[in-house]
Amino acid sequence: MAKFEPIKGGYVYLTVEDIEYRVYYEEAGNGIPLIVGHTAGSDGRQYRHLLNDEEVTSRYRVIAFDLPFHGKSLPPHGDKWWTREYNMTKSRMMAFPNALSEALELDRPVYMGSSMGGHLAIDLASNFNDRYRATISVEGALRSAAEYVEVGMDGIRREFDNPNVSRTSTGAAMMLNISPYSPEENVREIQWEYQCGGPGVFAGDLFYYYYDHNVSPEEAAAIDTNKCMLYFLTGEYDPNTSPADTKEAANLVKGSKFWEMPKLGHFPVTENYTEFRKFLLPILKEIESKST
Amino acid sequence: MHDFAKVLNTATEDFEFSREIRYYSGKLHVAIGDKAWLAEYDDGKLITVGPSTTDPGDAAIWIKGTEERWNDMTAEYPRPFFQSLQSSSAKHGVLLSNTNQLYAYLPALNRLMQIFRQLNREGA
Repeated sequence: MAKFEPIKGGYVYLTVEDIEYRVYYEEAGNGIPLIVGHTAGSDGRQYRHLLNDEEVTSRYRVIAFDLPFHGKSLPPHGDKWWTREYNMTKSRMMAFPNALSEALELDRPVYMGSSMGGHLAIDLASNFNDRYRATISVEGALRSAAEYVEVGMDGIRREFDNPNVSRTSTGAAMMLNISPYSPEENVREIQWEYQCGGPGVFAGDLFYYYYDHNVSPEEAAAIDTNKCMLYFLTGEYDPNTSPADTKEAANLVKGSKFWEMPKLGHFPVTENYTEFRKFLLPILKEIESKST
Repeated sequence: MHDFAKVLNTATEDFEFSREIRYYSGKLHVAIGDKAWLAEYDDGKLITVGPSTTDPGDAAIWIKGTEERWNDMTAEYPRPFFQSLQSSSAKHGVLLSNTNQLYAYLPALNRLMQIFRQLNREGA
């Protein structure tokens, strides 16, 4: 008998900043909507383990989407996107899950994202707390680590958008973020996903991740967790957003909750979902209890 | 185990490393504390490797770190941010050449570090 997964995929048209995008998303489960956002330069495949987790999908409708230019979401048809440099901005990052939520008529979904998706969880909690019942920031912080930010966009493009260097190296570079305790097959899967990206897209995403996301202490302190609860989860082996960096944010956001995840890195959802879910499930249970 | 020539010679027998170093022609210079090795590749094949007494400025790929840093990088389970050459460089002061070739051959260098760790585990 053939083996099937409960994941269903489809396309939805979203208009963001006057451009119509054909966006691919996958979903599984029923219940409280949970939108999940992928890391820079990758796509929704990162959430395949979560989408297959019955303990989650029995109570949550999990929706994983590919940002345009990522995965199965092609660049926008009818827009001359090739005439300008691809750079992801904060306003556009925030607009996509908002537009997806509207298009799917979701009732105050939960948003969870990792890396640039984790930064986005903070920006959504700060700017759109009326639209989300909670956000979960995985590997998020007020800003990314200075050592990487200081490289500058020119340096970033030299490494990740360089005609002399193949996409294979982008996958290889992800080793810098990954825990040595992660199962080898998961590590290789993360690298594979990074090797599949479109030209210049990973580097362009880093414009948001390193620069356009920059939350001031005052802005963080003003986040109202009574309206939109903010949870933080960060892996011990993430040099881009270390547990200390996340803790700095959590200390400023009154009422937020933070856990450091031992032996996990920058991609905990894919690196080792079995370990990651030990942290995620209690959070989802708490959100569920507050939603009834 | 701090004989980098042995690491490179072992790597020549490794499928993944041999694939990832394909077409490389040039020098690879590695300094571990006060010891250094220079290897030369031609079209992906290791031609020579031996102790180095100079620091060749024309090596497209070079790695430099203290003995302590290399011990951390090549531990079976490195402590946080020693998990790769790049994170060791950003967070712990290991020096890497900033060249296209270093980025292009990062998959080979990552594999080299895995082989180094493996040899340490085996007590070579």
